[in-house]
Amino acid sequence: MKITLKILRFNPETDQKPWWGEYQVEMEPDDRLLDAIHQVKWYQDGTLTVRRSCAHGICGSDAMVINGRNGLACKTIIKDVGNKVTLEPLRGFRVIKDLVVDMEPFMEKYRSVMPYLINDEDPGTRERLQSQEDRAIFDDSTKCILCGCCTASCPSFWANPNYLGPAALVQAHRFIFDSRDRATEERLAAVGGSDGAWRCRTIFNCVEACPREINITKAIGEIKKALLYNGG
Amino acid sequence: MSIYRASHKNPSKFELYAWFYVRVSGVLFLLMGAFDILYANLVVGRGGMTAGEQMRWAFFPISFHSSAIPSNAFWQIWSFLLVSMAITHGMNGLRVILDDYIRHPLWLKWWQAVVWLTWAAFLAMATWIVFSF
Ligand code: FES
Repeated sequence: MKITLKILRFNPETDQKPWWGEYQVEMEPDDRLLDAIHQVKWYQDGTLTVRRSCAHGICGSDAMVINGRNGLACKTIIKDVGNKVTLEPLRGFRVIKDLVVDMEPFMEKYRSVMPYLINDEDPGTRERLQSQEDRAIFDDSTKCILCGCCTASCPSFWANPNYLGPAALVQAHRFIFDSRDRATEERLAAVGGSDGAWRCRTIFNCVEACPREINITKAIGEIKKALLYNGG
Repeated sequence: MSIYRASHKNPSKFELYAWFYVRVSGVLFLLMGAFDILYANLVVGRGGMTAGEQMRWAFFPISFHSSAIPSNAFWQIWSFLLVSMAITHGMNGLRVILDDYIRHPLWLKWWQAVVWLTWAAFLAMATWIVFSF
């Protein structure tokens, strides 16, 4: 089938403002949107800039706005988006070029919640054991691939770039509710400020946007409750 | 081996309390209103108040709204609690909206001051109305 890609192009070195590039490509209905982008980049216009790595929905590098909704190009099937597709870079981030945005502020917030296990107790020669029930508590938040679809869909984040954003909060949730972790207090302090969990207005855009189908708003709600029970 | 730990000073608890207050007061508000309606219908009796009077009585039970129930200390305090709670709940909502929409720090401060003053003015007005009828 013939499909038309309308891509928001911007090269800060040569363009005054973003412009729409239109490209026709011949695709199979079961191809992925990323294949169509490759068609454009490899055979029509090599200057089109896009970031991707795994092409299988796990590295999180090809998040973009697809027909107005955030998603991964590699996880989106052509027949699901129709034969007219508009592509834009993620909102709320600085555009480096075309579909590539600057994720550094996003990663900075990610680092601020200390996204690694902290436990100074000596486990001896064994691994730290955890029951299946304890593991299940944070199972959902382990699925995050840091693509940024959620944070870039959040009106609260658009309004205030200082907001930690749903992705960093999901990552905090991943460790706050891990029975093996010992830095709950510190992490709650990291997400408990006015630019942390409290800036979530339960808009649910993040849940809609997440390509991993994480119930993000629920996770943030659990963080809010943990803050309440811990420090009220 | 040492692990990198970001330093976070303990954040202010204000947002936490505000968030909790909004939830609690929202529920209380409805329960108190329900109590007022029940009271109007069960104690004052059917026909004692018109529908309009009942509406006003539900969320601001002062004798000014209905002569069917005489003013006394219970209703004054009850009324004051209900109204001041509702005002605080609503003004906090405005505070949150300002926080979301006003980017310039000076403008934000200015509007926040307006919200605080309006809150205080409404509270004073409510107090005056409740205790003078
Ligand atoms: S390319 Fe890795 S998630 Fe799409």
